[in-house]
Parts: sequence; structure tokens; C-alpha cells
Amino acid sequence: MIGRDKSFEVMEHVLKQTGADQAEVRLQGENFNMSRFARNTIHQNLTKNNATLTLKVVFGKKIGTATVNRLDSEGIKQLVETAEMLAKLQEDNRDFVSLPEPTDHQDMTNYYAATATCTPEERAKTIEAVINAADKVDYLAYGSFFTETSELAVLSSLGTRAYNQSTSSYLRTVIGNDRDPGTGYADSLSRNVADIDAAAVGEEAVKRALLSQGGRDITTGEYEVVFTPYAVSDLIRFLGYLGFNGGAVQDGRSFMSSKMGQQITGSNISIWDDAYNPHTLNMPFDMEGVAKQKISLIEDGIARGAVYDSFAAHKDGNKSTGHAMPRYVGGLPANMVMAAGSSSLDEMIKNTKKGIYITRFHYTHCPEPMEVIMTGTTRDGTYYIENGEIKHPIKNLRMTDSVLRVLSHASLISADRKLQRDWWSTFNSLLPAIKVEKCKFTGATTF
Amino acid sequence: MKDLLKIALDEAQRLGADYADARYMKRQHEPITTKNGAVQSIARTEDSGVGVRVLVKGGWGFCSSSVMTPEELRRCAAEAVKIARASASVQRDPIVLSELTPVVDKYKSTVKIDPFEMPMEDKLDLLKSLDEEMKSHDQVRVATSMLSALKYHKWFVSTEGSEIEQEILETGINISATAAGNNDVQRRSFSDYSQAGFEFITSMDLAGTARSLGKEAVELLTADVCPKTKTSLILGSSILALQIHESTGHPIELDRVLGSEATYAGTSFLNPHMLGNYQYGSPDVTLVADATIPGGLGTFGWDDEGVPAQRTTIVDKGLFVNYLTSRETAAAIGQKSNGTARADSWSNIPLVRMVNISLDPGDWTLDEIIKDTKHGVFMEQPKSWSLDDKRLNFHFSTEYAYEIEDGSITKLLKNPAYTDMTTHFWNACDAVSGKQDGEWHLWGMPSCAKGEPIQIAHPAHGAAPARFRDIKVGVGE
Repeated sequence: MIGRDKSFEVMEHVLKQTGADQAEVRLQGENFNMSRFARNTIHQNLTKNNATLTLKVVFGKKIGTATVNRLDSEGIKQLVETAEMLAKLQEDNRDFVSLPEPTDHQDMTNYYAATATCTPEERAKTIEAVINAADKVDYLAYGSFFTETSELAVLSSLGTRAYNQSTSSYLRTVIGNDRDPGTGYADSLSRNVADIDAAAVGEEAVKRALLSQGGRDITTGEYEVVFTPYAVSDLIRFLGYLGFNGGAVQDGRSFMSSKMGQQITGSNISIWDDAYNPHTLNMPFDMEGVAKQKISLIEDGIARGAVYDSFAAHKDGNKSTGHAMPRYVGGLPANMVMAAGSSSLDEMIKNTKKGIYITRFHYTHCPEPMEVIMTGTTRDGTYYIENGEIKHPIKNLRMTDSVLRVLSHASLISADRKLQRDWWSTFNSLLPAIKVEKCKFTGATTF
Repeated sequence: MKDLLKIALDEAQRLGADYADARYMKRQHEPITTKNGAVQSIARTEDSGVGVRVLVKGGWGFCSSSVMTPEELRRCAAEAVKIARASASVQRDPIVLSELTPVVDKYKSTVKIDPFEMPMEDKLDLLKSLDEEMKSHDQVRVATSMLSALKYHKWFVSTEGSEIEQEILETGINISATAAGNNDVQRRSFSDYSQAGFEFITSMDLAGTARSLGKEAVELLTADVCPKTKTSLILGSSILALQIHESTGHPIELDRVLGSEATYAGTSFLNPHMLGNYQYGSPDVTLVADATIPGGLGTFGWDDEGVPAQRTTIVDKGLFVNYLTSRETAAAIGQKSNGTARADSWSNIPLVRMVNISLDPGDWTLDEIIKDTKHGVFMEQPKSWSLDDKRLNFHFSTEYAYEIEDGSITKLLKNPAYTDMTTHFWNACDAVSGKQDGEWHLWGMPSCAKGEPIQIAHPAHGAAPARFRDIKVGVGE
């Protein structure tokens, strides 16, 4: 890691080199360590170290951006020359107003030494605990485990000065055997590696795998559905990516564009973005160094708002909400939180007459973004529920339905929530389990 | 460079590595984007570093760093050896590499006009003119154009004696028109990439394409919705290229078959016992992996393990006969690598990745296929795609479709989609075009995600329009 003092020293040197009207420099450092395992063997194991400098320069309304991964004077010289050359070649960007004004962000704890110092041997022991759980029942474990230390620093000619060093860790596994295609899944994500209980993750996946043996066919159609937080994360992904993006709302590409203030889901659904919530992958500021604001997105089922970076916010005469990403997209919600209910997975199953329990999804996509129609197949634990009990495992199904429609039929929401990464790793959100009364399935697999 | 990299190899061997390679890569990327005729962004990124990979007692270790000094290379080698020993501590079977003859050689893309050396004004003028062509239709709300130039310079050295230098340049374009009206939003787009210079861009009639996209996006606003039915489906070259990518290219990756990607990208239904005796498709279906096609994004001299680029038949007249392999995965089934281990940067390890995977052209023309179809739907240009974790059940939607009745195109359809099972689908193929010049096209796709941490590979897929019988279309909502 570069460290706070050295980061500002480098960035101040960069700013001194440019004669731009406005300039913003961002330093991102990374120490990423990952071990992957398959068939009870670690088969990939790596560490990567990198630091990048990104400079955005503004001459009038002309903007140029360049990135290098060298922090020496030659690298900085090249960075400044390239950014300035690119800016001067441009015509005025009509929608650009200004880089963001400085904001005050709160301090928070999102760095844990245990994560930052985790060794390859400790990663191997963690994975061994998962493999042991699988081995006990003569099953095979597959998965990955990473620990990461990241640093983000932003300095601008307008006075923005922000630095944060954070850690994160993530263990996930699929457990199965060569005798039956049924598998089970579990994961755990935290800023602090000490929170990850590898044996518990292994046991949860084994339990699902055992319950998944001998999956049967089921007729497609409409069912009651119990979604675990693993599965809810894929429903929420499309709302976050396609709907809550401020740039998409401005362009009319978001389903929220013409529906602000209107009921779009059941009144028991509330979603907001809160980067200060300690149960999320909390972060004090965004890629422009702007303090993150808590933003209501859906409140009691009513479309309330979207998140913005400075470019998109200024276009509407507003201030950034602190949701800038590395490259301009208009803003994305990186810390979505869904309101808890008072139910539990057990109660949801007990209250299901004829329904389906979905552990998680694979390769979901959104063919009709304006209606948020999601399609994707279930995996790693799909079960048939009848008269309040899980009756038997079923072969994986293809769900194709509008996420807004599905969330309009949510009848139970769990009190417990889990910090959950979606299948595609787009978002890490704090999510409950949900039971819905209606959800459509349009196809099935053979396993 | 090679002498610097060899410092890492020497250190790794001194510390007990049975095998080591060091791979340097410098990558320059220049994406330029315009929106509605105004510059949206001009950026240039440059990134370089080294990755050291070692095998110790059958366990892999990999360490990468952006700092290119002898001390850092030695530290990287030592860290990689330490990681490899940790890997070896949790292992059922030691990793073995298939045999390889070392090589000392060079490869360089054939480029006429280097886009990095061109005046920026020329590139911006092109993009702004394309936006204007798309916006010439009133209901087009958003027109965007993006030009991408990407340059790699790679060095690979190994303890087996390979010393390989490669310089690769890719150029590509994305344009899209989004129209709004009639309580609807519709988008038409075009995207293509090649291992070539700016001459690839000027070889296309992009102005004509942009004009058509704007017109078609507007026409889709009032088009009928694709009906839900089972019918004959004719896929255009672009969506068929993606179909090949998703339902052929991914399930033939041997690392997926062996479980390497089980938690993230998924596995495969194509188990090794199926090799040589599984009817993957109809006799009209021959699919080939070829890393030697000029201009392909999946073309190179050697893969990132130093295995030479080669042509491998994957599906021979419908019969499944080969996987894509790396040295590690090939050895696991008693084969030699067919050279598809690729890493997207110096900081990531090589994985089994697609090269240029293509459907051989058939003996029809598209006109003949349409005339021969009593009822059907022609679909083109990918909009969404989704497959199960073994790559059997799939759902694709496209930007537009045409209804076909009695051998003629009768009307435009919007929101088309189709769904099927992979082997039913490829066995339902009864006509492949390509007889006419221009029907078979190699599409560059620079966005294939796989692996943890995620890596983005750049393969290409060649296809000509083809017909599939009895396919469920218009599915879902």
C-alpha cells in the first residue's frame, strides 16, 4: 500500500504539474490475494499488487482523462501530458459544469488488520475447513476465498482531499459429488476476515447439497417463491444497475424516469443506499472524493430517487450524491440496503402452499429494462415446497418475470439480513429473504 | 526485458520451483466516446507489470507487480513460491503440465494505420458524424459512438527455455441509437472489433449503418411484438456469433469441465466421456477453434503459456471431438495443450479462453433459406443472453426480428426472444448459409468475462445466418 502521506505527496506533485483550470487526481492501490479450489484441491492461488493514478484535467469545458500505473516522475509527466493533450483536442462538453466542490466525509472503520495481513497459509487453512465439511460426507468442494486491501485517495484543485484504506474478504463454495448433479452453495462477505466462519460456510453448503440429491422435474408456470438473500441479490441487481442510475434516469433509459412518486412495488418494499451502514462494505466517499449521502430509492413501494455523480447531478443543477464510479456512468448505488421485515425463512416455508425455494441464480440478464424483466436459471439448491414443508429437490428452473411485478407480490420479508454479493459481483447489498405470492418460470434444465 | 524477467525465473528455481514462467505485459487503451454529437469522454490508460507463475510440488503460486526492478522481481518470485507451497498443502492430486517444445520467436499484428498515431480530430469527426446520422431521425433520443484502440506488448519467458515477444493491436467500434415514443423505448446497435488498425474502421460503411440504426430504432417503436410460438428460427450472423460463444465456446473450455469455475462462471454438460461419441449438433454443424485467422481477436502467435496458435476442430459434422485446453487441463485428460491459455493482463493468471470459434459456412444463401421457410422468424443483433451453469438451457433476446410467411419477410417485430436447450438447438440446425460473399463474418467480441478475479478476454466468432427448426420464440413476458 502507498499510504496516506505518500499518496498525497504524489498527488500534490501531479496537480502542480498541470496548468489546467480544474484538475482532479485519483490514486487507487490494491493488494489482492485469492485462492481458488476445485475437487478439494487449491488449483489457483495468486497475489497482485498495483497502484494507478488517474488524472482528469479541465480547460474551460474541455476534459481529458489519463491513467497510468507508474508513480515515478516519468510516469507522472506522461500522465499530465496525455491528459492535457486529450483535453485540448476536444470541443466543449456542453453538459459539463464543474468538478465537484469539496465535501466533508465522516470517519468510519472499514480497515481490519486481520484481513490485510492474512497469509497464503491462513487462506489454505480456511479452505481446508470448507473441504473438511465436504469430505465428512464424501463430497467435493469448489470455490474461492479472497482477502483484499484497497486504498482510494482523491485530490482536486477545488480543494477535495480524501483518503481511505479499506479491507474486504469473501469466501464462497459450491459442494457436490460426481454421483448426482445436485449441489449446495454458501458464502460469507465481510470487511473483517475474522467474521468469516469457514466451517459454518462449508456446513451450510453441505446441508443444501444433501437436500439437493435426486432433483425431480416440475411443471413450469407461476408459483409462490421463497428467495434467500443470495437470490434476492440478483433481483436487486437490475434495479440498481438499470433503475437507480442517475444518468439513466436523465436519459429516460430507467424504469424510474417517468415514475418518480408512483407506486412501483408492494408497499412493504423499501430500498435505500447507505454507505455509512457498518453492515455493508461501508465507504466514506466516492471516486470523485465526494462524501456519500444516504439516498432513498424506493420507499414503501414508491419510486423516490436515484444516485448521481457530479457530472449528472450538475446537469440538473444539483450536487453529486457521492456515487461516482471510475468511469462516468451517471452514478451507481454501491451500498444498497433493503428494509427488513419480521419473518424468517422457516416461517416463509411454513406459509407456502405450493411453491419453490430458490437458493441462488446463475447468469441473470434483463431483456426488457423498462419493465425490469429478468431471466435466469436457479442453481445450487432449488426445492419444491408443499403445504408448508420442503418436499423434494427439483431440477433447476428458468425464471422470467418482471422484478417490479415480483416485488409487488412480496408477502413476507425476513428480520435477518445478510451482506450479499450478486452473481455477477455488480453490487454488495444488505438484503433479507423474501417470500412472494407469484413468480413465473418459463423453462427448466435437465439437472 | 527478457534478461530482467529471467531474474525471477532464477530466483524461483533457487527457492525450489519445479517450473516457472514470467510474463510482462504493457497495455495501452484509448476509448473515445461521443453522445448526441458531443464528446462524452476521451481517455487513455497505460498499464504495465509482470506476473511470475511457479509450480512447486504440484501446487501453483502466482505473484504480480507493477514495479519492474530486479529486487521486486526476486520478491515476486519468492512470494509465488511461498503461495505455491500453501497450494500444495491442500491438494488431492498434484498439478502436471502437458509437454511443450520451447520456442524463441516473435509475433506482431498486421496493421496499416495505427489508431494511436492518428490525429484525434479525425477520430472525433468520425464519431460525431455517426451520431448525427443516427440523430437524423426525430425520435432518436440518444445516439452514442465509441471507438476503441488497444495495444499489447508482451514478453514471455519460462524455465523450459521459451522466449516469446508479441505485439498485438485491436481496433473496434460501437454505435447505438435509442428511440423513444409510442410509450416505448427501443435501441439498435452495431459493434465489431478486429486485430487490425484503423483500416478496419474505414473498410466499413459506418455512415450507412448509423443511418439505418436510427431508422430501425424508430420503426421498432410501432412494430408488433414478436408472438409466442414454436417455429423455424433463422439467426443472423451477429446473434449466431454470440450463440456460438455462449453455447459452444464456454462449455468446451476444459477448465470448466474439471470444475475450476464451479462457483462463478459455472461448469459444462460436455463431460470427457462424450469426446468422439456425442452428437452435439446436426451434420450441418462444424465448429472450429482457430487462433490463426488473420484479423481475429482470438489470433496470436503463442498463448500465454508459450503454446503455438493452432486450428482445432471442435464439432465435426455434429460430432463433439475436442475441447479448448491449457497445459494443465490437457494433461488431466492425457492430451497436449491446443494453445488457448490466455491472461487479460500481467496481473492475472492464464485461463482456458476462447480463441476464434466459428461455424463453418454452409451451402445455402440467406435468400434461399428464407424462400425455403413457410413460417418462421428471422432474429438479429444480441440484446440479452442467459444460460444455466452447465450451458444447456438458454434464453436470448435480440434487438429486432422479421416475421417470415410463405418464403418472404412480411413485417418487423420488436422484443423478440428465443429459448431452448443447447443440444436440441444445434441438432435442429438444417440450413447454414455462407455460399454468398459477405454472409460469413468474423465478429470481434472484446467482453468475455470469466475467472476470479474477473478477466475479460477478446475472442472472435465467425458465422453466417442459419436456420433452426421448431424453436420456442417470444418467450416470457
